[in-house]
Amino acid sequence: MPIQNRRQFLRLAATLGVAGLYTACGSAVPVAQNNVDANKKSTGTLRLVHTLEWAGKEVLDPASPVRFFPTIELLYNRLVRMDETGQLKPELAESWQANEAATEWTFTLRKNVTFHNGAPFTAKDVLYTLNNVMNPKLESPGAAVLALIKTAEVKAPDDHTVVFPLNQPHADFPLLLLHYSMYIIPDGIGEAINTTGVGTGPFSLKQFAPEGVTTVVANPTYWDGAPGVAQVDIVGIADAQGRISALLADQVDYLEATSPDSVALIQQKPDYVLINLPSGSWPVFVMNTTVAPFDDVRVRTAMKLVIDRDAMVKSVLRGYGKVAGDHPVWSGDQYYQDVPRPRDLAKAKALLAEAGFANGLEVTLYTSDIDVNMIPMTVLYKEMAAEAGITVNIQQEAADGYWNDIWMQKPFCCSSWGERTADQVLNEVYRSGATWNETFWSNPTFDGLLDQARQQLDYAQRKAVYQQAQQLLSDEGGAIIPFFTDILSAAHKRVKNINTRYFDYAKVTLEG
Amino acid sequence: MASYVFGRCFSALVTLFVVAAIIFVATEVLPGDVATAVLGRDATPKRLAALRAQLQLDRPASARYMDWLYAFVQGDWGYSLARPKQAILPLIGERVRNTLWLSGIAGVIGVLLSLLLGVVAGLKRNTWFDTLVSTLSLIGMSLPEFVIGSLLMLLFGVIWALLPAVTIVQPQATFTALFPSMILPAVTLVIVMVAYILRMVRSSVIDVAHSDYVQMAYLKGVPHRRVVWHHIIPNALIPTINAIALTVAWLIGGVVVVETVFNFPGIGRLLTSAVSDRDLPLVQALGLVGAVFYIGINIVADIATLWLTPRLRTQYWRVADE
Repeated sequence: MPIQNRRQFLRLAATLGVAGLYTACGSAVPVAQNNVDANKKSTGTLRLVHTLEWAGKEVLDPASPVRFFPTIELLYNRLVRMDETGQLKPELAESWQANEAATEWTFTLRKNVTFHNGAPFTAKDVLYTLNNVMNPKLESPGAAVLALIKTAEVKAPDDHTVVFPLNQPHADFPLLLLHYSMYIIPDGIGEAINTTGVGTGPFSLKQFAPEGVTTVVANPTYWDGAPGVAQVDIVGIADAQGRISALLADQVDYLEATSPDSVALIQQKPDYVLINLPSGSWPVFVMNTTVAPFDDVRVRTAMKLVIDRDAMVKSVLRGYGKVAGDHPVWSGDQYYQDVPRPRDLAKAKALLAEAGFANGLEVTLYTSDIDVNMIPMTVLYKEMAAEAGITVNIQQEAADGYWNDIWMQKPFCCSSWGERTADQVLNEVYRSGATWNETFWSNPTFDGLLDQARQQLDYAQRKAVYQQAQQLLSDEGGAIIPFFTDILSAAHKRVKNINTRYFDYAKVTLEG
Repeated sequence: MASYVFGRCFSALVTLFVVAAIIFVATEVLPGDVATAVLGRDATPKRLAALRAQLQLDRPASARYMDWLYAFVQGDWGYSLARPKQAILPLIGERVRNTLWLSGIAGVIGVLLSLLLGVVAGLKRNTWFDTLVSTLSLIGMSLPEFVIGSLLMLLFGVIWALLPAVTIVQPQATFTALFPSMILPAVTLVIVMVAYILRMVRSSVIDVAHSDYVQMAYLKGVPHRRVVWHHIIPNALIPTINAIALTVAWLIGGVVVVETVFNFPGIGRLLTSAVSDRDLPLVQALGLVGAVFYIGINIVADIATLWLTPRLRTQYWRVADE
């Protein structure tokens, strides 16, 4: 699912970029210990807010298209997790190992873990969870991500071992298990999972009310030690302004992904901390590379060269973002390739002249307020392009129906995407014939690089191939990506351990 | 009188029928297809086919309309599209209750306050009190309710922290639990209502105070207090009844904005979710509930006007008798 709102990509939806470095073959990740500390007390109530993004139809099945964030993060565990520094760490798995060809992965599961209902966690639950994700009736967003698993052939040789055979080699397979649909649910729970939320996580469900207040309480026997707070309330507030008011009126403690407009308001209050985290979400000007004049790579390059990216970050994002180089892999990704794209009007004009537009070029750019940054960046682009003799006519369309009537229909339009890992985004959006290939770019060399990377088991070589693909896409592709946006969150200063990108709700504590 | 009331109710039913048709047409017979509108960027052929089957889009719109209306009248309001297995009637029930509490409180306080202020301002025309009230009401009228709401929220919720800024309780909460959260939204509604009604009342009072019969009453020595209570107020109120009715009916629309701003769990907030969710059956049901309110309030206003105006009443009797 492309785009959607930015918040869901903050820590999870992103099947993850940041340096989850490890070598694929032969080495096992060290065994983690269950560190239950009997003396640790859970105290206080942490009050969170959710955006009612599914307008009240939220459910607790983590694989559902309408899964209930952030509650599912509190109730469940995955096999793997990201630690605060962006390293892949064991969670319900203790270790994992691939065969020589990276086509079969064996996971060893943690022992002595129980679900909230007392049932022990075993390999059966992992199989059940995977089958739930793959159930076509559910239409889980995770199904496409995990489609390379031969689901029918997944085996559990014993209670604490699961073997995943893959359709194709994938050296980064454990990263895929970070997808939120792979939060583990108990074997045989069926549809009851939607409202009971039985998991192995740090909190268990007390009251489920997406349109009111959902309450979860500390799981005293949590395998990773009792959580820092005794209770978490999750309040549904659909209105963005209402959420900021609720935070500043001290009705909630933490607000994820607020807008740059609210920064000044939050900074005025000494009791609140602004948390500014870089992310890989990006808006983009999309050129259809099969339609004139965008079928000419010289025109595409000229269109990219007219932008002063630093100025755009400063004025559109008020500085809360990072300059991008026309490819969608962000600087936090382990395979990121830096492509500097400084403004060069002379070169842009020369390229346009070469392409037969010496007397100027006129294009229509479709935009919408569907993403908060689209209209400001469109207006700025028009001004910047004018200096190179490109006339950009702005056509503003209603957000309603934009994805049906404009996106992938008009040759030059705005789009926007949430953060994805290099492998995922390059395949999902830029490979020839991909459903969401919005630029209609088709380059056999590029496709070949993507295949090569997945099979390459050596990390350094794999990285080099992915970087080559990014460079090619940046130079020849149809996407003009000026920047990546930061995610701005805010918390009351009494809340501790919440200010990193991959923080763990079990470790959050309240002070005073 | 009875025949008038009967006739008025009958025309209300016809209006309701027409409104229902408009709601249905506006939401179902869109150009293209409801299923594509509902699914948006997720419209895969498989999901489209499933949704079309669920909505019975293969049947003619007129047949679907009659079925829908027939079921609706019988109390079968169907199921929400977005919330599987949730019947609409119970879903709406507690929300209607919350909205009635909120708009009821706001309506009663608003009407009484605006009558009081309007009458006093009209009688004390061009005094400092009149100027103050008139200026404030102009300000109240020119500020949209979400601005007033946000201002109140900032002052009383965030800066002074006297009242909850937004509602953080369950939709099915008791009146007592919900009450603190109702104060700010109710005050917002009252401010907007009072601004409209009191200007109407004020000018009406001024008109009546200058009428011949009031002058006559003063001339023949009727005491001021008696003139005010027996001549000015009753006559000044009649033209304002419809203004009041319109404003109270506006409440139903106003709560949509106010409930969204304050996160208040009423039909307004439910309607915004339903619209953003493209939950058509729910939008249709809420649209009809709103129409019933609106038409009902207008009938009450018409009958009240008739009751308070002997002239009209006798005229109708005469027509009925002939």
